[in-house]
Amino acid sequence: MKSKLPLIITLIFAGWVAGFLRGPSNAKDGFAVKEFGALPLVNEGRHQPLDSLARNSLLRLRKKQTLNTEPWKGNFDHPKIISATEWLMELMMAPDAADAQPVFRIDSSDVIGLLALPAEAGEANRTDGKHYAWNQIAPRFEALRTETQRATQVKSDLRSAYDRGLVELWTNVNTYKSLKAALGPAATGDLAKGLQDYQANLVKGREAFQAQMNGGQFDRAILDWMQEQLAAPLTIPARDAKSDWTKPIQEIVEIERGATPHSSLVSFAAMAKTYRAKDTAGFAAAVNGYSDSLKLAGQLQKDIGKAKSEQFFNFVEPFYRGMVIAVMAFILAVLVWLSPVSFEWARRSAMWLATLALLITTVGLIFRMVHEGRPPVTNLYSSALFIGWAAAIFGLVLERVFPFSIGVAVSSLLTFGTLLIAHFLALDGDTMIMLRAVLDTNFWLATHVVVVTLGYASTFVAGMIAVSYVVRGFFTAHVSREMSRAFYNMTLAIVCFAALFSFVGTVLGGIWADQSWGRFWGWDPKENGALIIVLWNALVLHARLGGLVRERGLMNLAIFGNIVTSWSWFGVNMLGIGLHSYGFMDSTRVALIIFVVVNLLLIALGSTPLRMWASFRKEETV
Amino acid sequence: MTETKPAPASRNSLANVWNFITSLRLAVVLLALSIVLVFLGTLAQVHEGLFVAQERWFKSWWIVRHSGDVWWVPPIFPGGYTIGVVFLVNLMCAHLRRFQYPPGGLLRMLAHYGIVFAALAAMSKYLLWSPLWLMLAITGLMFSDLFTSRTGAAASSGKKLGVDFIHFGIVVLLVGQLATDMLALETHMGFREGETKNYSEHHRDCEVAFTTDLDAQNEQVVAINQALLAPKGELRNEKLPFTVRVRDFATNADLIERAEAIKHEATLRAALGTLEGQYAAAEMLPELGKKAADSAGRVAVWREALRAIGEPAGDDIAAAATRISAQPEKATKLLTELKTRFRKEMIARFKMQEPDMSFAAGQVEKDQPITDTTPPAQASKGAAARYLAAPRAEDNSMDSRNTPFAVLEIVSPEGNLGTWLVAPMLRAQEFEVGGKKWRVAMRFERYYHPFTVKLVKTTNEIYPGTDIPKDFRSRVQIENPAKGENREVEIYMNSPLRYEGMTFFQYQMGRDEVNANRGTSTLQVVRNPGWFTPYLGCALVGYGMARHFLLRLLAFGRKRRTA
Repeated sequence: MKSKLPLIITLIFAGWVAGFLRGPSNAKDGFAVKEFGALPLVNEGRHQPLDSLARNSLLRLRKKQTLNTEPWKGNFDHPKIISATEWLMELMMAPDAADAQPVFRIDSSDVIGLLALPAEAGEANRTDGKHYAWNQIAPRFEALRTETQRATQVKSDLRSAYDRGLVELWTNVNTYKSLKAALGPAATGDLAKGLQDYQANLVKGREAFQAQMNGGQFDRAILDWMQEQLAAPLTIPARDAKSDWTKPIQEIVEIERGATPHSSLVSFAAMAKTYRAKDTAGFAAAVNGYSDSLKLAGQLQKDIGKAKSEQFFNFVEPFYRGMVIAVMAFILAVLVWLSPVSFEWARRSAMWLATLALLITTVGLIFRMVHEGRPPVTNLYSSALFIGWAAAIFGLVLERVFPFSIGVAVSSLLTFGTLLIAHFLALDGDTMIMLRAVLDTNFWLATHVVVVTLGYASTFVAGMIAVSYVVRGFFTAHVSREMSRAFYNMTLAIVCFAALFSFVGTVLGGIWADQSWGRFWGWDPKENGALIIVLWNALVLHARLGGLVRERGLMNLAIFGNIVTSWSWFGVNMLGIGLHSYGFMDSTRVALIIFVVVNLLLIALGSTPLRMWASFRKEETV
Repeated sequence: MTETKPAPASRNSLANVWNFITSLRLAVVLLALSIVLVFLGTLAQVHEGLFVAQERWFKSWWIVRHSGDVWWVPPIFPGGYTIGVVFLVNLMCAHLRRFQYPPGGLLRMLAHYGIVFAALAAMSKYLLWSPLWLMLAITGLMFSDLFTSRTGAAASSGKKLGVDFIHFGIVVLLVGQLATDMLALETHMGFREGETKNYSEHHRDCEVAFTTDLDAQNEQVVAINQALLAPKGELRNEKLPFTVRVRDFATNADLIERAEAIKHEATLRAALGTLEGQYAAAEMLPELGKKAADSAGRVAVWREALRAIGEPAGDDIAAAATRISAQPEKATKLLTELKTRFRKEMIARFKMQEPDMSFAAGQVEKDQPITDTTPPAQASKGAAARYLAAPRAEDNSMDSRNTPFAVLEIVSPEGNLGTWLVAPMLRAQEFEVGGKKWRVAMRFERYYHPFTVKLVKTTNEIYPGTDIPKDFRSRVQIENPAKGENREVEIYMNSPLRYEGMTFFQYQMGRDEVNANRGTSTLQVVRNPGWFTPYLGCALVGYGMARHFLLRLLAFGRKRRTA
């Protein structure tokens, strides 16, 4: 029976993943949510399905890809949870109803106080004390505006938690309003009237703008309306191969000049009308009709295909599935540490599961690469995915060579950890964002970025092997001479690879800089971070060679490598300077400090006298 | 990677020094020091700015703590140059000490080194335009090398070759960077579409140029570097028929239009006058207190003022104002406090504005009206009638330029001609010496090229609906009469032009201020004789590491199979 266990466990998880391959589907008698979500549009310069816009927006607003419309209910009281696309449908076509949905997550109690929001959870307050609807925020919106204006004056690293809460909510409110404007005059379902209103508003908006420029009295509300329209995603398809996608307000300007309304506006109006009338059949017909009309316009065919496949990818969430499986693999691998002989089945199950997770993340990575037409690493988010992926391979290879449940534990832990990091990074918005001109080069992304990321990954793997050495050696009595030799060899081998990858990657980065800015080395923080990893790996190798450290010393140095790498990967971005800074991340700072402290504690543990260790105590006394 | 046996213990101190210099311990210490240096130098960039921190930490011999430093700056620390040079010495001496004749014979080793090195050098020098080729060639070389070194007697001779390559590559990188630091020259070439230039400009240093026409086409230029102006002495040049006395000079200054500044001064004085009037009498306090509630800033000032006269600064300003207005003595005090504070605030707000306004505010603060004699009053001719220069602190952050100014007195044999104000923002100013017209201008230091570059067209694309740049490119025409060359070429991100020992990079893009339809572009022009060293160094180290580690891995695999 035990020999079958690994297979059974793996099959269960494989089946779980396979279940998602059927793709999204619509509820019986419900709206054609799937088809609507697959409609293409352009946001932040990227062609994407509406489904992606909905998910990414909701992630920003409430840090989840779904909307709990009744958050005051407990998990077991079956609160009504709707998908991101369902929410966006409502927001775009029935905004009055959407305004009552608790979509804004507000963590700062001071912000809640400022807006006089009910802090008590309950159905009467229509909140769980964290999530609020636009209807609840709107009455004190001006207070939010004044306070945000003050908060944005403060330098971003000097902002208090309250200030950050303000800025975050302000940005989210703007995102929310711009989404509301996505269908423009078609949103009400009555295009003729919508167009009239829009044209009237546009005239008023221009007057207000003029008045503001001249320093006179002006209508603030109408200016806000203009801004929302201008921030809307590009929902109107390009008229021909030469032109770009536009937003509804641009169409209005065209119509003012005598153009006929774009056919997509007519289709959107039909969708909105049927949606508001709860006519599901009519809605499906309108969406499909629109989709078919796009297919006829030749140049959009590719967009539609890509939008569909991205919607499918969003639904399957391969990285989330990989993360869950990796956790299972890790638990099983650590189980082995308690009693290596009797838990051999667990070790093998862990290997199988880790392999399954690797397969799934590989498919996910390949999908992203093909979809974007890019090498695997293009931003911080994908660097996390790639580090996890590479670490998994390193770990599994090591486990094949040294079957001590070390490689597999390291592999699954790093997969889990980096996918988790990626999950948090995804909260910042679209993960497939377009690349600025200087990064728009597949050659350097494929060489420098990939190799330097491999350097990060291998340094982490070496560090994690060392961590498991300390943990297993200190707490369990099973680390034999042979095993500790294996630990040593593994760490050393991986440090060698880390030195190679980080060096070559770093210098390739220098060469890229030489090609694009005319200087090989600029002492930019990110460059320095990479250089420190190279120097650190060189130090470890030379310290061993010179006999300055032996087995345990090497392990402690390798653990310190974790700290060095995490600083280069995330720490330097927090300095907020230099060409590579991807922006300031605050909660990351706390996480980083915790990570550093934990690793320092492990080094302290690794430096305790051997007589305190469960594994080597005997040898010491012999 | 077996360590050679330590040399027999010697009482000779020279041998001890030699042992120390060549020791691995020293290497480890140096690595540790450089890690600390890079780490601290990176942190320092936050406080000191990118440019200053680089000069202080990396391009220096020592870092000495000075007052005003952040708490973590050590009292003294070796700088980048010190660590780099000791590193070089350690590395080379260690190799010298551990050098062994390979068993395969010296000739064989030389041949091996020679072939691989020549191939690498050739690749990095000539195959650079296609980095893919470089990669392919290295991979091919590696396999052929691995193959030969695994066969027969050569196996043992090649064992340490990888390490030699790594260290040699490091030497190339270190020396190359040192050379770059000393020899590289970075200039800029900025033009509008259709404009042609035969020079590029330094991005920091300025010069004063005296120009006179030789004939219709040619002019004669005598340029004086700004470094020569700093001592404020007398300058002579045999080609100049006059002497130049530097009356005033500053490395960074704002150029201010006198008339504008006087206008702003009047506005500010008027506003301050109104303030005086408003806060003149105690009976006005209640009204003013009520008004104060409108703005958070005003409330804050009132609170401070109330506190300053020892009154409770509660929430209700209006009530406090009414209360105090009934006590004449306190009311006068409060009015004075309020006046000084509001006055200060008004001036401070002016100071935050553009240079014209902030200069005016500074003069009002000092109570010195702006007149025709406001510094630099010494300048009597040309632009000085309209402009004045207000020195300010040097700005060493990455993206800003310093704009110096100078006041020059020109003394010809015919007598003193007067003084001129020169600054990079001002046009050339004319004067006459001995019947010949001369022009004087301060400009960014120019480097003339034996060819011309014309900006034909700029392309500046962003992703639709965003402000993320998608594509920046300049199409330029190069004309080199000496070589009979006349061709057009595109320069864009990640695709610079290498020409005549210089590299032209796309740097900035914009629109002409006068005609928005006309694009402008700035190219960065770099002359770096050591530009290929990183390529060579990277190839050497990468190859050496891959070779060494792969061999070790293979050996490990063999051992495991036999075990």
